[in-house]
Amino acid sequence: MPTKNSNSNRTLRQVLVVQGVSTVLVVAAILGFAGLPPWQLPMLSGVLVALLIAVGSGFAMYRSLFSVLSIESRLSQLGASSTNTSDASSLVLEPATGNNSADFGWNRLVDAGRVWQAVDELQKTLLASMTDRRRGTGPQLLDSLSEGVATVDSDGKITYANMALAAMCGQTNGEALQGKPLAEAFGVDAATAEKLIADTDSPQTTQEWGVQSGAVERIFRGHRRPGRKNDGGAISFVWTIRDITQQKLADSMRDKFLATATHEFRTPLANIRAYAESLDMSDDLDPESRKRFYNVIQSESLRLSQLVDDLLDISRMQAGAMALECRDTDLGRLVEEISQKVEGEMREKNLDYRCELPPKYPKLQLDKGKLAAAIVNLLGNAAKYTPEGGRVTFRVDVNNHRVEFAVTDTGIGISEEDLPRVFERFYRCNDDRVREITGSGLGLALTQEVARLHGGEVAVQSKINEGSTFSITIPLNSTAV
Amino acid sequence: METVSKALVAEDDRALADIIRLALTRGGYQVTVAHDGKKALTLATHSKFDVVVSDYQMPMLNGEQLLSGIRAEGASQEALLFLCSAKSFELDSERIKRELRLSAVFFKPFSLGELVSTIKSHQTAALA
Repeated sequence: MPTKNSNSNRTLRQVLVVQGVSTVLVVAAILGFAGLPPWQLPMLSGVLVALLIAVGSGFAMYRSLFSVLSIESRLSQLGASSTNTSDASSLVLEPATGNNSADFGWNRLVDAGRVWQAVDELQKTLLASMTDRRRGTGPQLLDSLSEGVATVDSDGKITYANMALAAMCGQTNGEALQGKPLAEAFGVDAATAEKLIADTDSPQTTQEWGVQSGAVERIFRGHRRPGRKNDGGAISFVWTIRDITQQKLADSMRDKFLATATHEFRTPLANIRAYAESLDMSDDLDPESRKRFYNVIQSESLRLSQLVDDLLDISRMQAGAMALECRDTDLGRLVEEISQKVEGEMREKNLDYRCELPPKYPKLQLDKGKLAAAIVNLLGNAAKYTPEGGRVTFRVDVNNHRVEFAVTDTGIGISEEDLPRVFERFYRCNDDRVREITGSGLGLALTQEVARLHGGEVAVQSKINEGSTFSITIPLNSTAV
Repeated sequence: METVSKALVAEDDRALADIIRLALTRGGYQVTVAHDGKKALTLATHSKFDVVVSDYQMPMLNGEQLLSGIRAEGASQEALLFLCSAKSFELDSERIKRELRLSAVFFKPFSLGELVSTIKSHQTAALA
């Protein structure tokens, strides 16, 4: 079988033969013309010119053809030396050292080839880098999700779990869950496990389930989507699972708040509407009754207004936007004003109201209005939750470092279960005696926030059926927030 | 001789209790007021009332417990029962109405005129 090399040699030989024949023909023509008369000399000149052109062009053709054949020969050698012709980068491109046109042409090809080799290398590097990245960042991406992601086989066993899902199941990595049934990984009951078992015929589905974690029930919401093999058979399901405990808690708190707020708004509104209607319908009312009716409308309007203020304060508090307006405050005067505000309520309920005050007060930078409202709230609670004839003591204690306002009552007290939660927003104790008394569950949360903004704190001690002590402590060098 | 209907008002909010008493008195009823559920149940058990108007959220016994107790036994078992509440969606008023055979449920703030006229119309219907 002829090779590229033998082909090029044959072509070279053919060119040389043609060139030789042309030369013989030209010499014969000269010899023929030698015996001719001189008037035919121009013809000889023409023949000589033709001879020169033929020799020149033959030489040029030879050189060009030699270059092409030489380059073709080198390419053939290059191809023969390469084991993998599809891999251009493996070719060794050596430039020629000579100065002839074949060498120049070859070197241009070498330069172009080297450029293509570099591009090929770059392409390979990029491809490898992207492949590695895909391999490396895929799991990283899944592990960075806050949602749990798992694939399970048709038996419901986990084939992959990301970090978030592992954490939901109390594990530090997804590998620990591989091979476990999803239901077992979450430790759910039999009924829930039934829901989580993969059914190849079912479409995608969303399930919610609870898992008892100590005293708290954690709620999960999982969305299951069937995965398919290339041949169409079901091989796995993809679960995306979210811990919605906080969301559920927030929903429940919002519902409670709405219910409480609605109730708190409706009660004074009921009075305002009923008294206004009575004023309108009863022309024969005596002036004293008429005045009493107006007073009820006014006081219930104030109650509504206070409720709106509390709600706005809570809303500001939640947004972190509640700010103090601190000024030099005469503490003695503040205490006096507070007592004046609550004395009527104490008297009305026949409570033994006592004040234990220090002989001297320091001057403090305080938000007088907000602090007074916080202390009045504590005294108001004491009055509300202390049965008639009980005692409420307002004590102010000052030392070199802090001032403490404490309210002690002999009221219904707070159970151990309720005590840790009394400062929560909207929280109301699970005690019928508390539920019977209107309240939004916002007062203590606001009081705590006011103390915190003053750099202080609130505290509570209580015993059910014996009474409670609530205190606000504010440092004397308080740098209000 | 026309007999005066007796109404019991159970409402812990004294201001509201006072104005309901006034409206019912003007409507021709002989009104008794109790400020907690327990006191109201005692009154309804021992005295016969034709009409009972009860708040839902009250000390000692809530409105549902009070009206359930009245229906269960005592002198006012057959009274026309009306429930008033400041609660809204969290109160299953339809269930309570059905189970305790309530005449009507009023949600605060309600119209006193409407309260009195509704009570009267139910009384008329009951007597017919």
